[in-house]
Amino acid sequence: MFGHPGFCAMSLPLAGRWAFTPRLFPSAPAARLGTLRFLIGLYAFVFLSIRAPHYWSYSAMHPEQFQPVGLGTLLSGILPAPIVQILVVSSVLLSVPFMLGYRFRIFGPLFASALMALLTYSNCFGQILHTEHLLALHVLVLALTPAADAVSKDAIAREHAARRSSAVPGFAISNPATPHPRYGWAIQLLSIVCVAGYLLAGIAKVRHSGMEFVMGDTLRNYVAFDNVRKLELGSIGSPVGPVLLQHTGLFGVLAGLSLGLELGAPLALVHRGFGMLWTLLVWGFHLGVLVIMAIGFPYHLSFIAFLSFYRAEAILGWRPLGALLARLGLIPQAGPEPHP
Amino acid sequence: MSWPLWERLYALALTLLLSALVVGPAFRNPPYDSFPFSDYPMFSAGRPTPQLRLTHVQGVFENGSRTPLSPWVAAGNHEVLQAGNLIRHASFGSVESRGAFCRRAAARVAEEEDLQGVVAVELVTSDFDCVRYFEEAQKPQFQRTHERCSVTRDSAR
Repeated sequence: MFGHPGFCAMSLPLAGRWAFTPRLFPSAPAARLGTLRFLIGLYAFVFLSIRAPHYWSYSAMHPEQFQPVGLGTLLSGILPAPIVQILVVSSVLLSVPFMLGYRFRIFGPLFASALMALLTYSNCFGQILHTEHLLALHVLVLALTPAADAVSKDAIAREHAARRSSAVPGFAISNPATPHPRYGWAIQLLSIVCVAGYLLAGIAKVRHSGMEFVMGDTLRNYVAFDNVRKLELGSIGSPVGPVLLQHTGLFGVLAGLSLGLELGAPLALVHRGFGMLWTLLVWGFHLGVLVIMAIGFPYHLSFIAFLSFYRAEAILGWRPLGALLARLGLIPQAGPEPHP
Repeated sequence: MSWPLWERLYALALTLLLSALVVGPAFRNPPYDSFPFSDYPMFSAGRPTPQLRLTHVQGVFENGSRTPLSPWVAAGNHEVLQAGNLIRHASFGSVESRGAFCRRAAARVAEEEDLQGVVAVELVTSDFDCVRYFEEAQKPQFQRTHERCSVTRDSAR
């Protein structure tokens, strides 16, 4: 689909130049999008491998527990146990070619579908867990974009093919470090879906609590409430949150900061510097939530969720990672070309 | 490097479509929490007081003392919030369904090595003052029992 020679000659009557300004579709190198695909795929592989026993446990659910959401509403009841188990195993396995960028046009959408199905199903049992939305959306975006044009098995195979038959049109070796809007828009879309989640969380707080969220004891009460709830439901609470409850004023400050970060999230899209600062602050916010409320957003805490705001391909210059990627056959043995 | 118009239109369409899908739940009436699209309502509802009414499952020892049961033992789900919701829904059910829920929890208790002293399972709703819970005693202000069932262990095991 992308970069296919047939499309070079394609010209639609709609010029649509207005819609393709550099601001809307900034340029970025293929190596950046490829690096993001590799890192997000690596995270998904590790996450799914660790969580596989948990997802497997959904094969033993009782029909009364089924409360479908999203695409799960298409189901009339719980899935047969073998189907759930196949879904778990196939999600773990499919994350590997996704991560490696191997036959990505096939395995990219396949992995995104399997992950979406698995995570949707796991959210169909009484409570939607908001820790996995962004990972699912990022994988979906990557699967639908040319995310394997660099740092991938496909790119290396294409390069070898081009070297072997340089006369075949369309097989010219493209420089993965050359910025192009074909890759920039996809990276921007990763950032948009990231920022949107925070903005909506802020809007929900204003809608449901108004300024009471900042002015009143709402956050303090939530910290106490969530820790009691976890302890009484036989789980683990935070040892720090309850200690801080006596410092009433602290929670007003924390509430104001968190609401500001959420409502101000769109600014992260306006300027690269703002974006990087915002991601650092939001990461700190998640760390605080983990410490005070024992709620972990692993994808966000890994920081991989925020790498679309950075020149992610710079990490290819880190020798151990470059060597690993070269051994995996994702970049040429000589290492990546330096970013201009 | 050129960028074919077809690809540009695809990029524009996907950006607009996905942005609309991601932002859409917040602008529906009522807002829509789902997966993978949500209005992210967590911790957004007003909570002016530290009062909490919670339905949960307790293990009862022979001397009458009680212990919270883990999400898996209580509700057959490792996710604490999902387990909490399943327990709450169970408390709304008929006498038969509450009894069945309680017996399933009791069966899981019987399989747990570290719950050997638990003789009964109770499905209860408790009222807590969550701030006082940590300042004074970790006890509910009020508790109502919906269901109680005995733990039966296979003596041959």
